[in-house]
Amino acid sequence: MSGDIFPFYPKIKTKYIFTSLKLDQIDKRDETFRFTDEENYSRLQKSISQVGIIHPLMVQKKRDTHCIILGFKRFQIAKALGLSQVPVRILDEKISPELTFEIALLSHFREYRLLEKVRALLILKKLRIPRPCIVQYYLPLLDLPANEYYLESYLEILNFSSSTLNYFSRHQLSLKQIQMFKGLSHQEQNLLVDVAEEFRLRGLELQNIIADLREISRRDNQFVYQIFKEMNWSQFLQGDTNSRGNRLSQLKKLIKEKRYPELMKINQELKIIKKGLKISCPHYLSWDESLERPGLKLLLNITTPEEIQGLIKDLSNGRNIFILTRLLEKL
Amino acid sequence: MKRKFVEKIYIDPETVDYPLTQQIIASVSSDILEFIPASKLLWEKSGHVSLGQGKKIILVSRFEGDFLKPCPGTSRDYLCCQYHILNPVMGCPLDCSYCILQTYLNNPFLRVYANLEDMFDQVNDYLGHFPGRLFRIGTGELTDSLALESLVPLSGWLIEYFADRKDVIFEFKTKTDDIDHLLDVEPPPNLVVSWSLNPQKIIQKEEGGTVSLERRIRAAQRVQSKGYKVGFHFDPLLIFPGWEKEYRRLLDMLFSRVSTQGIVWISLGSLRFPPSLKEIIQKRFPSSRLIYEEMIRGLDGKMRYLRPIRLHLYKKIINQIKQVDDKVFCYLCMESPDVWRRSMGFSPQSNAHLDFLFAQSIEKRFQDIQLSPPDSSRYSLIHSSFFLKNK
Repeated sequence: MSGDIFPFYPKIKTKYIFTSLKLDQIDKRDETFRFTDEENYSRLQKSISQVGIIHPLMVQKKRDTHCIILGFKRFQIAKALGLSQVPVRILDEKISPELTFEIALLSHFREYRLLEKVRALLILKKLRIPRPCIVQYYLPLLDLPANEYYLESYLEILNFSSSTLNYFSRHQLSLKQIQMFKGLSHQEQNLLVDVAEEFRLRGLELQNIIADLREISRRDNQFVYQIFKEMNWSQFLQGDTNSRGNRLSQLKKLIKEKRYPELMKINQELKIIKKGLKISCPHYLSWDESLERPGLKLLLNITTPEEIQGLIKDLSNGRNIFILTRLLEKL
Repeated sequence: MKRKFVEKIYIDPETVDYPLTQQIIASVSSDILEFIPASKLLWEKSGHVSLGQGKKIILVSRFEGDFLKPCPGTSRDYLCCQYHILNPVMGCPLDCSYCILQTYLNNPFLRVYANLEDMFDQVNDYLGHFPGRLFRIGTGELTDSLALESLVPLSGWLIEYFADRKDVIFEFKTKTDDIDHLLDVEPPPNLVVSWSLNPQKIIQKEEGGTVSLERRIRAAQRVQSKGYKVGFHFDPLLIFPGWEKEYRRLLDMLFSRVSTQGIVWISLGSLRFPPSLKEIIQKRFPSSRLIYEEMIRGLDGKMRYLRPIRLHLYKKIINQIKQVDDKVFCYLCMESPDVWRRSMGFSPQSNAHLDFLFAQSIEKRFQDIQLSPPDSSRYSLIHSSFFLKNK
């Protein structure tokens, strides 16, 4: 790495020190370089309890103690298992924090999760790495395009409420999905997370609901929680008598009615008129519910010549003609 | 009056000898001029210049593509009028929130193409393939026809060329009142100056950089009294609280000041846009509420108001126009035959038929243009594939 925007790393004669350290020689509170998610430790814990720590932790000397660069989980497990010391590789004190963090970044052989990337970028920011350098060098290291937009968008995620961040982390939402929460107050974010949790909404389904709610909110100058209040949100939370699927359909219908009142009203009227149609053979009468394409579609299932006769009679029936004409007028 | 919003004019050295470039260089102060190859500028800057910033930067270069094209219109589920667009300028200095150019053009600059001789050669060549029919051509689709006139004096070239073309009705379409230069010229009978109109409330909120309704109508009055034909475009028609009253007042104001006899056409088109524009409007115009009205995805994939709402909108406006003068040629832009039938009482059979109806109306109403009665067989469907075949 060289040039104006990249940090200059002096050549250091690194001493390879592999040793063991007592747990109290490591400062567990120093999480400067921690960016990975805290996962379920059980598998790693089982392995360590059976065969011990295979890969040494990476630490760096800091005054009279050591800070962890890699191996936060191993350290915690060692402590939980009551081990007195752990194998470590000690990084040279002269190695700059930038390079130390870069080593940490490159030492995980897996794709980082969204919040891990966010935390990594925040660490780089705290280390005062110049923005162009973060964009051009570190974003690709995190499998992100070298574009200012991504840096900005990822850092914005930190402004979300903690329960929202928790939700993102647990459900691996994409950047686009996360951005649906942008600009909402923490109260609104938390409410939407509650909705998502209650109805187990994921991906596109959640995105569509939030998009509709935000548009209603902008159109009517109302906060999202006010819209929920108007819809009597609590009725959707009590699921004793009503299945989750039913409650979700009702909620979606209410949101649609608020977002597309005229469209829903006209379709509702058409459905009521349609009910009066009496055709003896199995049939399905439909129309373009967006109302953009005029006309009706009538699908019939006729199996006998008698049914044809019956159909002719049905279609020339004055009441049916009146109903079909009314439908066509409205369409 | 020179538009203050242009802060920089880049000139591709390749174009320095073109007369239009010379006119531009002569008319602006040298401190805003810079000479740089267009390819270099586009490579280095277009990714870093926002849409808003690009509206302050003119790039003068050559254009190697087709200057004249059929209006891109929309899919065959809707009727289009076979208008033709001429593009010596691409990009608009005005900043309307709903403008489709925000997603349509591939770079943010105001591109001016100085090789006008090539443009006129192309027009000659193209029109030569379709003898015996009338073309409607205009420059106001990918830019405002008059907004840059004080810096890029194109009108003179266009008027001079098209005044002699009896097979063309040429249109300048604008939201400005930069018309003084037109008043110094004897109006050619086949030239139309037209305005896109909306209630003042909308102009203030959504049409940044344009002039007020009053100024647009006053400008229309002035060119009409000079002898120019005029046109009006109610496009996009918008739904907003109180729209019926506002459009009624607008039409009252217009018809009290402008004679309907000199109006060549009035177009009506409700707001429509590709879904990708929504996000741009949200970002660039966060206070705009237009996109939150009740809309569906139309048969062409564009967002539109519901058909019953559009019908209501068109009927209201058409009725008021027809009450004043039922001979004014009104048409719907990108609407379905069904909407035509229900709002206008009839529907053209096809795009080509609509094109023919224009010619018929112009021939009947404006004898000074000296058109012979149009022959419907000459008004066939013009495909954009024509250009590919003739390359």
